[in-house]
This record gives sequence, structure tokens and C-alpha cells, in this order.
Amino acid sequence: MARVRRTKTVCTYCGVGCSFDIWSKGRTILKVEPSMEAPANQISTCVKGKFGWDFVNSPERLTQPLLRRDGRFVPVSWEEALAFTASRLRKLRAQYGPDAIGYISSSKCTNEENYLMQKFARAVMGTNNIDNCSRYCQTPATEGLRRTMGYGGDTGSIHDIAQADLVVVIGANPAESHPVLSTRIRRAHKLHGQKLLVADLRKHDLAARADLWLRPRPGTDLVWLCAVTRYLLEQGWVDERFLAERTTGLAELRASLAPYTLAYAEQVTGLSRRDLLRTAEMIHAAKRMCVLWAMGVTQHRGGSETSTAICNLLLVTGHVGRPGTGAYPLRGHNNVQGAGDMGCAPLYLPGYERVDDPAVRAKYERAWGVPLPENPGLDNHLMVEAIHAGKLKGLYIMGEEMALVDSNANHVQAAFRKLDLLIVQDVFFSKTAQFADVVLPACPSLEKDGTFTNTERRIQRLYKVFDPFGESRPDWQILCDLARQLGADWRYQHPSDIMAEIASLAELYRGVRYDRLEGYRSLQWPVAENGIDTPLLYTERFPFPDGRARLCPVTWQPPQAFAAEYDVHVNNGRMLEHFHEGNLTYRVPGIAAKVPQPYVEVSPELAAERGFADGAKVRLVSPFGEVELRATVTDRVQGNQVYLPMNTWRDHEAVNYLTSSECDEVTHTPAYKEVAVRLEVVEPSGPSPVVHGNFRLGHPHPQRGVEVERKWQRPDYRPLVDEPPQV
Amino acid sequence: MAAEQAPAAAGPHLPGSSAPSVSFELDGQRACVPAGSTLLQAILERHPAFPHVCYHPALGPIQTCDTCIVEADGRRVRACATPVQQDMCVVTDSERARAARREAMDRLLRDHELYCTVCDNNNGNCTVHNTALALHIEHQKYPFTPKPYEQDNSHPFYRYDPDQCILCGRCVEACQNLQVSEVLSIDWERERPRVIWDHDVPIQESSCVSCGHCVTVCPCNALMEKSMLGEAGYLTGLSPKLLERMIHLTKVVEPG
Amino acid sequence: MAEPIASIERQTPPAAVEQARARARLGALLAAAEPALAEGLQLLQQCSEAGLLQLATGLMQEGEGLLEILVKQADQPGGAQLLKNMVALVQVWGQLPPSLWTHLQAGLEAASDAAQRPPTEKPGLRLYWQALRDPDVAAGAGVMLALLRGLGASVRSHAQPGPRKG
Repeated sequence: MARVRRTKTVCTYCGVGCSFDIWSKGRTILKVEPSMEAPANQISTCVKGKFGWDFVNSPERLTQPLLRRDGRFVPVSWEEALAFTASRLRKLRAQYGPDAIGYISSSKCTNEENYLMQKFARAVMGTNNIDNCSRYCQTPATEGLRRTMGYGGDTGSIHDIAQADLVVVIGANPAESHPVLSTRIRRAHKLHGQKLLVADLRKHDLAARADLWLRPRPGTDLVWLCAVTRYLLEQGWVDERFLAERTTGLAELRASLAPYTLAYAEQVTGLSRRDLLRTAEMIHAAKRMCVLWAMGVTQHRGGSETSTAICNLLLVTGHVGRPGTGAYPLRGHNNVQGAGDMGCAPLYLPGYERVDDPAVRAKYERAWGVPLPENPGLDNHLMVEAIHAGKLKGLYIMGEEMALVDSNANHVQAAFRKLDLLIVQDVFFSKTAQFADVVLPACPSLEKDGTFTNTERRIQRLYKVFDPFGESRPDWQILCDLARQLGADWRYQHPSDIMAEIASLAELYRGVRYDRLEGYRSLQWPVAENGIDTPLLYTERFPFPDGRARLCPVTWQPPQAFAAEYDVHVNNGRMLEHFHEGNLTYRVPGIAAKVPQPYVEVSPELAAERGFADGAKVRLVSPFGEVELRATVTDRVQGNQVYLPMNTWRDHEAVNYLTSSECDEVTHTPAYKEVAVRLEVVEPSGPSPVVHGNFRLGHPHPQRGVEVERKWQRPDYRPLVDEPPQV
Repeated sequence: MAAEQAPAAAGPHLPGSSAPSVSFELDGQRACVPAGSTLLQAILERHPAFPHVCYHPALGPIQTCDTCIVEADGRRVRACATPVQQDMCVVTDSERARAARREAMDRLLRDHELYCTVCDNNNGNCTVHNTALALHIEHQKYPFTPKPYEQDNSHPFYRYDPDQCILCGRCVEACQNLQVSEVLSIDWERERPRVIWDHDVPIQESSCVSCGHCVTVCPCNALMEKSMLGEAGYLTGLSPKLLERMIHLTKVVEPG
Repeated sequence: MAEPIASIERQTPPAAVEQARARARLGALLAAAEPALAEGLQLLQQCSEAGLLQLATGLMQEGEGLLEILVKQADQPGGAQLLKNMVALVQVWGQLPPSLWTHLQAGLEAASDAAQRPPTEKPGLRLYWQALRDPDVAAGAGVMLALLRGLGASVRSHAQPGPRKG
């Protein structure tokens, strides 16, 4: 078929990093065809990766730059848009200094684009005010890993998770957030005797299958983790040799764990002594254990501390540095890992080298040929505060729906109203873009080349499937155009040129070259000069001067308390069908038909108590804002805990109108999971928001497989094989 | 599974594995493979076009198609489900083995209307088409008989055509044991078995999570992405009526 | 200072932009392919003069209608059989050695020459006896006999038992 093209790409819908061929004809997508060669997923996909690409041809795509003029957004040429942007940036910098402008990079954009964004902020505009949304999710985990083990990345691969004897999942719902990764867990559990321990408020897919499902009070995971660790140490159910040879700080850790008795844990978490003991026993019985965690752990004021507690547990039991073991904070976005690796953070240059280290700065000044700012900049949380304080005047946002995904949306949008200059670069006209002075139309992954780094630290290449739509341009090209307008001599012809520069500067990416990533080949960092990569970390040593991991005492941060009237707890997170606020997935007609809007899950107890039924319209009011949407009654949630998905761009139902500005102390990750509301019934009943086509209405039919013996029992079947010899 | 319990499909083959190996005789030649390999894995390394339809490396042996039958130590066995034993004597090209494979393919074609020339799935990677070719099928022994079921077009992204379904069970294995959403099964006890969703409801009403595994692994065009229909075959854009006549004609002219 | 603006001015439809770009690309291609295009145009001119272009255009316009007629024809009782035979013939053709065609060709050429010359000898049995002693003729006769033998063997092996002819 001469007309049918097959182009490899990497999915942008989560941190698993599935890769597959897109079969296309002209601008029509014929199908997504995964194959055994794909390193992360082989032939597996989920609804979004397999069927969720129609949005690239949506008539709502931004096709021209837009300028705000007389209360309207007017399409203009690229020349005009770039000239305007450059001129306004220059003026603002001249008037208020380089630190008066902030830059937000994107966890959905490529490594090359992230690298250029931080280079733009630092080398062209002279500030370290650069950040990305990984702060909203896994930065606390990165913090925990860097404190204890050294590298801010998952310790192994999906393959290791499949090989483990025990998988512990805390505050994560992989079945809906990392679907392909969750298949490996379900398969191992169903076919190979893998044990599953889940800690979550909600009865999600893995919780329903778990051998042990812990349902602690919200925000108390650190307590039971420490209690279990203390118990294991007490029983001697630890890896003595590993502790002696490969760690430091055991004595301090032991001392710090003293208060975490089982009784204390029972009292704080609400878990039974029996469950705590069973947890310890399951961990003790496992030869290989992996712990997976996500936003239920990190999006709390104590997110970094809890992540550290998880790392301590893994080190104490010696489940690090061996196949089938390790720490797996599940990266939510396709390039969250890469955005961090590329130094899109106020404190780090690429490769996690600190900006306030003179030697590091000298290296980059030599490489980039300009002096570089030496003070750490503002993170996205502090940027919002700085805008309100009148200190930050301008913001350049690439590929981020900050108006809706930041916590306390009212507060953030109020900040946007105060900006002198807001530049928004995106694929669609987002809520954030509504506040902009200039909107630059960018290309999604299918229209550009580049690389992403997934949750396995795996760097993979994506190839351009289509030409840019309308006048949209790849983000890396826009950044180059803008940099040149501002006098920088950027001459990158292709993303491979950018990666060559990255590899020359970031130690973790030293051996990364496009020819080494051809087709389905991939590399997991650190990548040495000769191209040897590192699928499994810490097999020999930890990257600290003494080569040992560091056990690190933790302090529990109780979750926020709210006034008594806010008596309903709002858990929140993803749904399988949609990504983020749905700017892409709601533009896929088949997906929008199955889940046309989010809905709040309410327990039968709560519905009965408040007098409403499935399909009711409810209003949830927090101290910071309110939402109104339909509810479904389900036993997936219990008591006063409800679940509100984040997947919407419509103001009346977006969860961040409810969340506060509280955050993790160390990393400033918003405490999205600490939300309390009062519930008002608007309509006590109505049409169920779980519509025909939503898989949650179905009833699965578990079998051992195809059960071919039943075929062989059929009277019309004559065997073609010979009977095996009698033993 | 069957009496011949096969080793479960492993993940990606780790290079430089120091697993023990097994040596055996394959069509008169000595061969050496890692311990735990199946006969089919060993054969495919040397003859990538050796017939097999239901086996898939991500799913393991399924044993529904019987097209991979060989003789091992004088007995006919399914190569996909038979572990290689030390000094086993395996013959793939004996008359008995060939006849068994031919018969197996003929039985599959009884359940599948052959119109490859105009089929949307014939893009070089249709397993049924390629295996029929490999088996030199020129004359269809059992004429195709339509199934008493309608196509299921209820789902927005894919469709199931029971007339084309050879009941290989790859989709069921993928849904039950790889994706493990446990939606698909084959109702073997019916007069004419078919794949069913949940306890036999339309796809759009089932617990199908639209992951796409079933469509990806289907070896023919029974389960197809809707976006492929009428787009990928050689004769895109013809009116359905004309296409139907051509299918009918091709069916008459093609082996059978 | 910016209040949110929820709508945007109608953008230039991508189609118009795309057309402009397509025109630009095409222009570049035309310029690059000038020599080939010049020759191509000459060829087209000649086809047009020979009436071929008109024929081709007519056929294309009939398109599906024509195909429909063809399919209908082929679908007649004998049609499918004819197609099957054609397919079979091509398959057989593919299996015969090329040398056979060379030999046949030589035979046909000789026959063609002979057909154009008036016969020089009187026909008679003596002529044929002599001819058979010619090694070339004997070889040719052998081939013909083999053809008869193969044909007859196949006919007999597939023959249904029927009333015996006397």
C-alpha cells in the first residue's frame, strides 16, 4: 500500500510511554498499531493511546497566532506575533529586571523543547524563574528518592514490577492512570501468584483484586508505613546484610521510629492491628517487592516525608538494586521525568546540577556563551504569590492549563488578571489562553520530532506523522524564533541538534544520540558516553560519596483541618477515558460519547443520609470556591468521602475551584488531596451521569482464558494430535 | 489449560541470559535452544514463516487453531504447547504432520469468508492470509457457512464480524490474561460458537474499556478498527453494492 | 492587566492557508522538474493526437460504471469459470521452464517460413519416412508424443467410469 504510511510515535497520555506505529493516509489516522518491539508496552495500549488521536484534526485547533486587541483576540501573522512578544519581553525586563518574568515549561512537550525553554529563561532572559507542572505531582517523590537513594527516578522498569513477588500500591490507581502498566500487575497476580497489597481510600480496580486492601484515613500513610517499618526492625524481618553494607543512618532511623507503635498507628490511621500485622507479614514473605505510589501520597502537605518513608521501608527490607524490586513513583505525564531532567526547575540546571554551584554555572556559561543568573528562582507556586505581591509582571506558559490545574483556581486566575504580560503557547485555546496577551499556536506530538522520557527513565524518539496544522509550529521552533528575535544566535535545524547539546552538558544523558534511538530502540538514563544505559539502578552503589543509601528520619504532617461545616472529604484524580482537563480527549467523539462529563462519586451511606439518589445534582462548596455537577451513587467510595475527577475544562465542575493553596513544605506541591466541602443538594434525582457506553455499567466475565478444553469436548471435534503416552 | 502444559509466555527476551540450554533434533539437524523454549519458538527462530495462527508471543500458546502440529518422538503434537526436551526428535515435514496442519487450516477457513483481494486487513500482515499462503491452500475443503449472528457495530471504535471469526481465541486470551479486564469469552457450547462480551451483550453495553488489545491481536478482519474499514484495502471508495459483488466473485474464484 | 476573553476571532480557515502552501510547494516542484516536464508534455501531445487521451479519459469517467459492467459480465455462469481458468493458466505458465518457449518459438518460426514458401516436394509416405529419420524431426515428434501421452494420462485418471464404447 504505497499510500498508507506507518510512522512510529510515543504516546502523550501518561508516563508509561507506550510506543506504536500510526498508520495514516493523508491526514487521516487509519489505526494505531503497537508491536512486540515497543520497549515499554509491547502490543498493549489503552483507550487513549489506541483511539484518542482524532483531536489533531479538530477544527478547534489553534492555527494562527492571536493578539489581544480592543477586547478581542485577533489573528495575526507570525512576524507580528513574534515581534510583539519579543518587544514586550524586552520592555518588561528593562523596566523591572529579568526576575520580574516567569517561565512555565511543559511535561507534555519534548525533552528538546524543555531544554530550550529553560535555556531561554536563563541564557536569553537572565532568570532562574523556570518551573513545570511536575511540581504538582511527583516532585515530593523525587525529593524522597534524592534524599535516600540519590537519583530522582524510578529504580527499575515495568518488567521489574511484573517480576515482583509482592507489589504494594499506595495512593495510586494504575488501572485508570497508567493502564498498560496495570495490566502487567493484573496478569502477574492472576497467572503467576504475585501478591498485591493496596492502600487507598477508594475501591478501585486493583483494590478490588488485592490480597490485602488497606483503607486508612486520608493523609495518614506515613504513620502506618513507619509503624510497619518499626515492627519489621523489631522482628528482625529486615535485610541485615543490605543494611550493614549499603546504607547509613540506621541508628537515627530506629530512634525516630520509636513513637510509631502499632497502637499509635491504629489510632491515627484507623487500620486494625490485624491489617498492620498482615502487612508486615506479606512484606516479610516477599523475596522481591516493588512499591508503587502516586498522588495519594505526594499531593499532601507531607508528600515528601511520606515518599521518604516509603524509601526507608524499601531500604530496610533490602528491596532495592535487584531485579523485581524497587521504588516506583508513577510519573503521570509522558514527559514529567524529562521536564525535570532538563532542568526546568528554579534550582536545577539540566541533569539536576544546582544553579547556585559556581562550578556548574561556569560550565554552562562556557557552553552557552553568556553570564547566567546565580540565585535560585521562583517555583510555580511562588510565582503566583509573587504576581499577587506585584513582584512578577510577566509569565510565559508553554503547554500548560495553569488556570485550571493549579490548586485554588480562583486565586490563580486573579493573579493572571494582574499580569502585565501573559504569553500562552498551546495546541487549543485553553482557559489559560483566555487571559493571554498573545497566544502562539503549537503542534502536538504527531506533528514533530523529539524525545520523551517515561517513568522508567526510558528515553524514546517520536517521529513526525503529519505536517503542522495550519500555521502552528513545533514548540522548539517557536522558542528558536523568539530567541533569535531577542538577539540569541540559536541555529538548531532539527531536534537532534538540541539533543546533541543536551548530551554534552547533562551527565545523565551523556550517551544519548538520535542514531542510538532509531526506530524502537530506547535508553534508560544514566547513559554512558559509549551508549551503555542503566535499566536497573543501584546494583553496585548509590550515587553518594560513600556509595551508600541514606536512611532518613521523617516527620508526620497531619492533613489540613477544616471548619466543621466542611464535613465531606473530596478525593480527586483521573478517569481512564480522559487526560487532564480533557482539551484533547473531549475532542475525540467516541471518547466524549462514553464519558461526556465528569461526575462525583458518592457513597450509598452519604446519599441516603442527605436524601438524594443516583443522578442528583449537587453543589460542593469549599472555603475557596464551589462546583456543581451530577453525582453517581457507588460503593467505590465510603462514608463522607467522595471522589471528583479532574477531567474537565468547564468552570462549574473543575475541582480546583475547591482546592486551597496549602502545599508540601519542601517542594511546594499543592495539597490537592486535602479538600473538604459542604455538600448541598440542588436536585435530589436526575438522569445518571454514567451514560450508556461507560464501561463501569458492565459486568465482567472472568475466565481462565479461552478455555480450549471446552472446544475439545465438543462432539464435532476430532483431535489432530496424538494422545500423550500414559505416565 | 490442556494436558500439554506449556511454559507461560515470558516478557521481552533478556539478552545474554545464562539460562541452561537444551539440545534436540529438528528435521534431522541438531539444534540448541534455551531451556523452557517451546518447539514452536525453536522452529520460528529458524523458519519464521512456519504456520501458526493462534499463538502470539505476548499471549503464549492458546491451542485453538492446530495449524502448528509437528511430530515429536513419533507423536503429533502442537508445537506451540510442547516444551523442548533433551534429545527430542522432531519432524515438521512428515506427511502426517503436513496433513494435520492442512486439515487444521481447512477447518479455520470453514469459519472465515475468504476475500483477501478486497479485504481491509490485507496489508501484508494478515495472519490468516499469510498462513493460508504458507500452507499452499489452493482448494478449500470445507465450504464457508455464514454464522447466525449480526455484526456488532455498537462500539464507536471497533466492530466484530462473526462471519469472519475463526475462533482462535487470541482476543479472549488478551482480554482475560493480558489486559485482564475479563470481558471477552468464547461460548463454546453453542451450535456455532462466537466471541461474546460480558455475558453476551452488545459491545457498547459491556465492561469493555476500549483498550484495543483484541483488535490488535485479531489475526484476521473479524475484529477491526472502524477507522480501517473501507480505507486500507486496494479498492477503497467503491460503492458497497459493487464491493459486495466483487467479494462474491472473489470468493468464487479464490481457493475454494 | 487582562480579563479573560472567552472567544476568538474567526481564524483563516486552515483550508485557505493549506491551499496557499500547496501552491507554493507545487511552484517549487514545477521549477525543479522543468526538463522532465517538457518531455512529459511532448508525450502527452502525441497521445492526444493519437486519440489515446480521449479513450483513457472516457474509461476513467466511466470508472465504476465500467467496472460494474465488467463484474457483471464475469459474474455470468461461464464468467467465473473463465476467470478461474485464466488464473490457472497463468499459474501453469509460471511453472513451465523458459527453455520450452524457446523451442516452441523455433518451431513456430520454421513453420512460419515453410508456410510462406510453396511446397517443393510432392507429399507422400516416402517423404514422411525420410523426415522421421531426420534427427530434428524425430526429436520434435518425441515432444509431440510426450504431449499426447501426458494429456491422455490425465484425461484417463480423471475420467468417470461411463458406458464403454464398443
